[in-house]
Amino acid sequence: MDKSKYHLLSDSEAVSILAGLMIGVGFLALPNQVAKDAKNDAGIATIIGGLYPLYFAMLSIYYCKKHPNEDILKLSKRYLGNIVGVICNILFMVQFLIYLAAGANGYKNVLITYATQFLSPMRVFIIVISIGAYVNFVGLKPLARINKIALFLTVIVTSILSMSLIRGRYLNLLPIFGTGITKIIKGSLESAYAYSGMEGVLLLYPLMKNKDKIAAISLKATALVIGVYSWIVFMSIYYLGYKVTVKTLWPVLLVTESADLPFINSFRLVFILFWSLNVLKLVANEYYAVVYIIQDTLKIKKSKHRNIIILGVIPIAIYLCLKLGEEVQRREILNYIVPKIILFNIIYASVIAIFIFINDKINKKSIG
Amino acid sequence: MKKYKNFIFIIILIIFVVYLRAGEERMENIEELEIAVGIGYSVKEDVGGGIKYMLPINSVVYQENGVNVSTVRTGTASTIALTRGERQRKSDRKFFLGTERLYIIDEGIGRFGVTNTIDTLFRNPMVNDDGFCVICKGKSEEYLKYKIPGYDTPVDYITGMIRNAPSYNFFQKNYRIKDVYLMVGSEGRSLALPYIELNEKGVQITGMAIFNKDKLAAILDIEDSKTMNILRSDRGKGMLTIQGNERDFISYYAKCKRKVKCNKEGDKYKFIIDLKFNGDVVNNVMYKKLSSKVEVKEKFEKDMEKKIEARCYEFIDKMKSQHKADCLELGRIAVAKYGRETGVDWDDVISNSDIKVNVKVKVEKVGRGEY
Amino acid sequence: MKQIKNMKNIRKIFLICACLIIYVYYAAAMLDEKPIEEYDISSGFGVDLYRDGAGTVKYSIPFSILVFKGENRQYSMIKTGEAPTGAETRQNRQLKTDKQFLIGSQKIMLFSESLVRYGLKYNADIQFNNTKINDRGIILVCEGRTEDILRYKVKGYASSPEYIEGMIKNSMANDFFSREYTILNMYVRLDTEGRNLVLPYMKISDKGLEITGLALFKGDKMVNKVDVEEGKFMNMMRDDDLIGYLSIQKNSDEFMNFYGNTKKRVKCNKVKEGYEFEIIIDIKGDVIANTLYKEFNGKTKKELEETLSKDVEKKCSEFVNKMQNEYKLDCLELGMYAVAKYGRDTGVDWNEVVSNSVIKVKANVKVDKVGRGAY
Repeated sequence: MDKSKYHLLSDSEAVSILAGLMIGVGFLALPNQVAKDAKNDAGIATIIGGLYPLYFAMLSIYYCKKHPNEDILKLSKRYLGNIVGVICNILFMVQFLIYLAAGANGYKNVLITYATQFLSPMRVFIIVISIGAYVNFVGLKPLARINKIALFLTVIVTSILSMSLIRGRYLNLLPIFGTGITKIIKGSLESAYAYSGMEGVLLLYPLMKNKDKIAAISLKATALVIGVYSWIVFMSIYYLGYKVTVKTLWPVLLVTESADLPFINSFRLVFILFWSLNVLKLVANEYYAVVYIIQDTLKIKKSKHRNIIILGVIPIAIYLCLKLGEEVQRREILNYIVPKIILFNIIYASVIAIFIFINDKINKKSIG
Repeated sequence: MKKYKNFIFIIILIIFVVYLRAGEERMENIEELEIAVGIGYSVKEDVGGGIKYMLPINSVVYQENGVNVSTVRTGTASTIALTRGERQRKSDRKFFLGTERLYIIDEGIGRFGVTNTIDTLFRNPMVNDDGFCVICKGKSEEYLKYKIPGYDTPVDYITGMIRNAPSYNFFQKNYRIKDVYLMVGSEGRSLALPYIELNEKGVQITGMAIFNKDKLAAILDIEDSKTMNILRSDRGKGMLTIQGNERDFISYYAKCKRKVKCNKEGDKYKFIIDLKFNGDVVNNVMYKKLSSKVEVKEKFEKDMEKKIEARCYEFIDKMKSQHKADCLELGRIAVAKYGRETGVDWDDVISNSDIKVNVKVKVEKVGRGEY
Repeated sequence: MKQIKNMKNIRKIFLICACLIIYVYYAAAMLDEKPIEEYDISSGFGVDLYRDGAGTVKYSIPFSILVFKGENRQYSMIKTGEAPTGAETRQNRQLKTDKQFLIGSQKIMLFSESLVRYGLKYNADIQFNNTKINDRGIILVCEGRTEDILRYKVKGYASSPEYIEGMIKNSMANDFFSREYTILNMYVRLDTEGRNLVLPYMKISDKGLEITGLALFKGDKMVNKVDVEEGKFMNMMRDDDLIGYLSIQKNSDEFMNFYGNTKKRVKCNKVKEGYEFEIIIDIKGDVIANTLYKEFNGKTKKELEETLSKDVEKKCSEFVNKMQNEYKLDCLELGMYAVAKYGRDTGVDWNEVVSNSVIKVKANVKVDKVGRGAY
């Protein structure tokens, strides 16, 4: 094996990490958010929402073609100048920090509601954040492998949800497009939180082994996530109908009731077990992004110093987690912040893309 | 000589063992012992105007075949200690103390004064300090004789009730005899025990009995008991409900923490009680959109705070004017700050002091959604 | 050398201390948890509603508790909590019981008629909020007090809920009962547009515990009930994939029993005057007992199929008539089909619309097996 390339991400690992950045806590609540506006067409709205990660997939292909070895942080410093570039990078990092806390907090809410009533929030956060930090100590490769396993489990668990095909009613899905295009689009905007994470591809593509395969990788990841998400939203509407979906905080868990497995009394707890791995992986992923950006901004190369950063993030993360409070507050805060983050991301990444384009044209002119 | 060394050693060993065991009383098998599980304390008026103590003891004979026999024997005498002898005369088996799990004290004794009862228990080293102590309506004998299908003795049932009561109604875990000693004996503390009743449906906790020193001051109903428990104890768990009309209500199950601050201004004492509630909404048909809008949740929290405060003040007024007892054990806090054995009658002082209550309510979980 | 050893020791001690602290920190959270012996295991519970002397609504929620002696189940006990609101009954019940409650093992839930006529949703909310409740538990409406039914001793069974579970399973196999009288389905049907709730109805009769029919709901309140026979046909038109017995009886000597499986389809059309529904029921099954036809051949088989089909259609139409004129309810959930085709949340009252629309029923019976021959 080529030693110098060992630490880079293989194709499957890259796909797993990208999917892993997106699939997390939002998984359980997604049908609820989207159905509020899109009603029975929530499945369609979810597919439309996939345009967001798709856009970033496209951007990543372009970035990678033009600057295969420089990630967005370096590009922003190059094109936006040191000061503006660094500020944008820090904002970029802050969003991953927010998603980290949101993920851990959302997980805590589900866990203490459904499984372990006796745990206090702080106890859950300490474990979740510590695990996230620990995985970061050991580096990128193990993180990638965890993502692979988690993706595998996610697909299995999502397929088990198909059990409700027997019990549901397709009528719940009709009339297709009956809700009207405006509402469907509004619903697709709600799915944005679930799809967020794909922006991480702009950090990761230099770390991939086969950069020429970037198109296949990012599109595969996007397609997988769109598939998983739309499937669970469809299943939720199919089985529960949109009214009940809107009433439940975590519709996916209610759908797991329909799974009539032979020797398992309550599939719900098994589901929570598998899905816990997903959340821990998501927290670790976001953690990695945060540390990576801090490392880059402060120009830190030594691994010892990196470890200090990792430790330093722990209290900040726990503080943010506590600040988010319980589920109602968390959703309200996220509803407020996420659209702004998404807007920032789109503008940020697009502006840099435009700069790359202009620069490219200038270079072509000067060459040819 | 060497060969005989071992031989002599064994002989000495045997003599030694026989000597040790010779003086032993023959210990009975467990099947031949009546294991006392519960003791009741009653008084009755004697013909001559004095009072007689009646102590029914519920004991169980545990048999090999699993069919355990429960009997109640009552000893009646003019002092508690004498009842022992009187009772023994009625039994054909040896009594075995030290295993009692329950002490049921009549309301009657409460009115008379529990000092004697507590004192007797305290002196006897064989007494099981972990036994539960309750006050009952009527005669304790009835409770010990009550048959509950599926249970060897009603004592099992009643102790289970008291042991599991803390999961609701803000009951405490300190209703054991060892706690009673402290509550009666320490300065600034007062005795409060669960109050049970027996009706055709069975045994039930219906409130709390509060004492002024060693005499029963009042029996509180369950609602007042809840309030008192909230104000009295450092930690508790229970459910509080706001009900508008028939079809509008919301129930909140929470853990409660209490902190008390004490100040003295001149001769008057001022107490500030801070209560923090942290819990979940378990049933809600009153506050629409509580699980989706933070402002509705916060409104509920504020409403619940006001409700609890009102409830607390109502109880405190009652306590000061009617019961005239420091059932919230505030004296304890004052004593810690201002000195012990100053001759102060805390029940009196507290009834005339200024008590303020601050409540904070936080909702942690709202269930799976809103129906 | 000594320095390294010291470092290693210090690290070990530090690790052990850290582990202890972590363990204690998390174990402290579990202090309130108790071993299983301290929990009441309940096989079923009931929800009652009554008004006390002052006219205040009170909920009475009895739980049927299994009392274990050693390892054997010996008795069942009823523990009831009473309070003006549903959740407070838990607090009230704790005053009367010697163990803690474990909600979630119940397979049967009984709602008294008095409760369902008052309205289910106040109770539905507390079930919905509770994550531990068994969403696949079966609900039945019962006449009288649920406590009486829970106390009813059935020979060979530790407690009545287990017997009731058996009864329901029987009805699902014999009377075209749906498999969906569960809590989860209650949530779904109570609130979805075009859907309607129906629950099994039982009582204590001279035969003992008996399921006598089905309770019909308008929204979350019970308004009517139908008996088992009528219910069969309503179920056929309402739910899919049911099994049960049908029979034709000319007189006491000539009868025929048929055991079949039903599948239904609904067609919906909007016309100027309103809506038109067509319900097509396909029944496939076997002849179980027959003294009606002397022999079975192609002709008699066809005759039988036609007779049965017409019979089913007749009984269904009778029910539809009653439903539209007497009950004025959409208990066949036809609204659901209209909504799927023509749009949701249009503010339509489906009970009214369906009562005024044209409903046609067509039944197709196919006989698979006819047994070993005629006797």
